[in-house]
Amino acid sequence: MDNHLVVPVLTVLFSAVLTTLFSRQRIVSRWLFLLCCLTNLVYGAWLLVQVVTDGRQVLLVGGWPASLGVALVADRLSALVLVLAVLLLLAAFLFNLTPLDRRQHEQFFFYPLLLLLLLGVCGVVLTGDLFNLFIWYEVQVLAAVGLLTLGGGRRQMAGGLFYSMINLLGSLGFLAACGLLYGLVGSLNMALVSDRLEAVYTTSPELVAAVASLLLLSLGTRAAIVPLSFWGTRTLHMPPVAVGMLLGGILTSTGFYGLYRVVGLIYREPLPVPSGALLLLAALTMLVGVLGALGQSHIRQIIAFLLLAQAGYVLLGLGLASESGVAASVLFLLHDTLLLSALMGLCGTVELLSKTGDIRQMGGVVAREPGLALVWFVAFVSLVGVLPLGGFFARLALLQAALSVERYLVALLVVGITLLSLLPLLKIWHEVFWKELPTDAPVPRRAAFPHLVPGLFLVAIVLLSSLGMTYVVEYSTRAAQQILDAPAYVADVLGSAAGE
Amino acid sequence: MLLLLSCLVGLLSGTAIYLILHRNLRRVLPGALLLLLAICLLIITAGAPGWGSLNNARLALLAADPLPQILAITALAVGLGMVLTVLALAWRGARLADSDDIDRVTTMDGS
Repeated sequence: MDNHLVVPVLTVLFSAVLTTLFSRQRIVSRWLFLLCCLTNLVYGAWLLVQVVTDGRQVLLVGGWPASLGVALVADRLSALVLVLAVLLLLAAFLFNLTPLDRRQHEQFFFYPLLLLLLLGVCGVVLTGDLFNLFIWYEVQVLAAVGLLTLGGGRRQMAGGLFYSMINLLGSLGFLAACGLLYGLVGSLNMALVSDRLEAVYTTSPELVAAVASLLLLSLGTRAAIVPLSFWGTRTLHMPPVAVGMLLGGILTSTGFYGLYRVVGLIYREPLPVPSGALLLLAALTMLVGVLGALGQSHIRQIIAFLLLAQAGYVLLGLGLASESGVAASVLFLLHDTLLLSALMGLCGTVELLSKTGDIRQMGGVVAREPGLALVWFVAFVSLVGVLPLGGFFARLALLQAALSVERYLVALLVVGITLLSLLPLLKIWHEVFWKELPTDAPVPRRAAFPHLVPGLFLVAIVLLSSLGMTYVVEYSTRAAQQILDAPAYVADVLGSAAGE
Repeated sequence: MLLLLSCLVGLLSGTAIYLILHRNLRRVLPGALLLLLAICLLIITAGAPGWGSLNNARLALLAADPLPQILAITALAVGLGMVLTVLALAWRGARLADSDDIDRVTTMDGS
């Protein structure tokens, strides 16, 4: 029993309540927020070490056996997503400290909502129960709706309504899958489901396949996979920059966490992973993301479309359904989420400085703000896979994974989309950074060093991880092994009850 | 009885999807509510009687499995919360856009 697993949920919940009480005092809520994030960053780092040295951490809450109670389970993937989410929150917090916009949103329960979002993340990555997973996703969705509608103007309502409507349908699909799954196996504990599903599969394979695809579909909604993905591209450029930069990354990475779990635990032998369908959806997502990005003229919406393309890459690795494919996809999730959030923050800074989001009305940033342009450029070349930087290794790993299972079309797609994703970024580079400021554009403001800090913070993390790439690759490979090894998961969770 | 309930679930969710595919928020939102109800009914219908949760084998034969009912009521509470949130957003969005056409409310030109 590892009782420490309740720490993140309890600290975040407690801080969310406290920041709600102190929501009028900005300074107090900022400090509370920072304290909570740092506590969880330290805890997350400790958990990373713990899962590496000690293996999977399991807590059966209240000492109930797995069939009756709720289990909390943490492995390498959980620790990684937790740390990633806390880092994104910290970057958004740093952004919020730089007084570029008027920060009116801070008075509308901004910090409590951010903490509730983090609470949702903690719950999603730690729970070992499907129904509990549903509840935590709802916590996350409600916090995200609150953040998207900060201010309550028409733009915010438009974005918030679009997002909440699609996610409501996603939740209902997940709920239906939970109900059917309970009817099939008599439990919603992930380990028990995984354990008993094999027997059910021999008697009624089509039922199991239907339920599993319903799960994939509804989790795909959260991870922004194409048919139900446009909540991101339609909404992420509307809220304040600090919200936009973290929301896309956090929501898709937790969505993918659920997908990894389903693919690892439910699509185990003898149920085949629908590799072809996943690869097709991934290819569509990537194409729509990259080509959609080309068609936009709002600077942050371009990045929102690239976030969609990134979701396609991650799904592509998952769809290969091999250990190296999943490892590449975890690597991708880590790097591209950080990089795209950094780009989103930097583009938001440029937007606030230029007083407009339309790239045709911007220009001359390289001449005015060389520092900002440099940080943006580093994130940009890393994202398109220039050699010493993090994004390259993720793409290389994906390419190798595709070649090793002889999916040449997939390999071609990875190379092609990477080249294509140069285009929208080059478009930003040319329009916003390189060309002269149009004469009819509003007079831009000047940036100071603090405005770079949030972007720099995230880019620095990527650079650091590029330096220690050996360890990161090894970590993601072992994480992929843990994801795909369903019998070990079952043994760890059920064995911890027997050990008491 | 199971057949009847299953048909009811099908009828409810079919109606719900028909409503959700409309353009007007005043049809879409009741559709979402109806879909939630259909799924709660589905959870209860899908749960096998007296399975798993009761440790006492003799009791399990006499009583229904309480877990699907708990799942259904939790789902109902959470889902109603979500639907109400969407309803609040839709109400405000429709007033601001002066229309309940879903395309008008969710697309933005200008601010």
